[in-house]
Amino acid sequence: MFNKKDKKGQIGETITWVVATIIIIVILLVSIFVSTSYIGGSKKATFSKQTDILASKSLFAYLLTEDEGNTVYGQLKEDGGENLNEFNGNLALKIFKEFYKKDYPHAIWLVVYSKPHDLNTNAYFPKPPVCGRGISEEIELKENKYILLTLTPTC
Amino acid sequence: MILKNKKANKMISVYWFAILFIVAAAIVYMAISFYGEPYDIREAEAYALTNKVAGCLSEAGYLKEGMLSADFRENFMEECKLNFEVEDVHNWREQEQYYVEINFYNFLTTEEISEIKKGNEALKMDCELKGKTFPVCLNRSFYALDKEKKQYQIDILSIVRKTDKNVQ
Repeated sequence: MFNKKDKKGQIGETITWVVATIIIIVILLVSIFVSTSYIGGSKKATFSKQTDILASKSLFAYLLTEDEGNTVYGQLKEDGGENLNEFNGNLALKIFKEFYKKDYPHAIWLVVYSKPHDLNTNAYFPKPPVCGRGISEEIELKENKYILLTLTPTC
Repeated sequence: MILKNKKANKMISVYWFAILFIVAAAIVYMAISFYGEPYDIREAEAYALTNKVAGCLSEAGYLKEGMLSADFRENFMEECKLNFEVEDVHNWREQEQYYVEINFYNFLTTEEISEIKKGNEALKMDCELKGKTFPVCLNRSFYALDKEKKQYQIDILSIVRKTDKNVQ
């Protein structure tokens, strides 16, 4: 009677240890898999971009481009220049959408606006980005009037 | 009965040592596999090179004077204060690790006006191939004007090899 109980106890204890061993090994294997494949594979040093120097240079040159003796900067600065016209709208599309679409697939948005909250969308860049994770370049045209270029890689 | 118990205790001690050893070995393996892999900084390096070249070519939207001259093409490295020298490891001195190519196009007609090539041009062939062990290629463009308000598209291709140190 005593021996039988002892044997049962021993079997129970052995099963507990076997299960514990299996759990330990599974946890170790998962950890090894994660560290080698997931973390190890992504050791790429990326720097968080706060500004895009090339896009910034393009924006400056865009504003300095002349159309019928007036620069794009001058056109947008004028009263009533809240929306892009045919010349500067198409030029902006050609520069920013063609050059930077690959780097910023989520959204490229160029808008002229007045502070505090007068954001005018335009026919050339109708869709504002749906999230705020991007690079913004803002240039003052005149008091409380700005041009804003937003480049968003992903959301 | 006491003998049996002693045997069982011995078994458990051996078992504990085995588990301890397995756990320690796994931790060591994980640490080596994580920290042993080098950081790949080639993309950041290619971006830095592109930005440096763009900064040398244009300022506040305008191309700097003489950018399209043969003289500038010849002395591009000195003019832009670039240096492609690398440390003498993995035979790097025999095979240059960088390449920069700049193409100037007429923005309106897309006609090529001028080009500058510096570094190891052979690296360009590997740009088509995908994989960690191939050089990192970065192709970017920007828009600029000259003082006569002529419009240009400038393409900069920067390539960094250095696979031996950045990838295992």
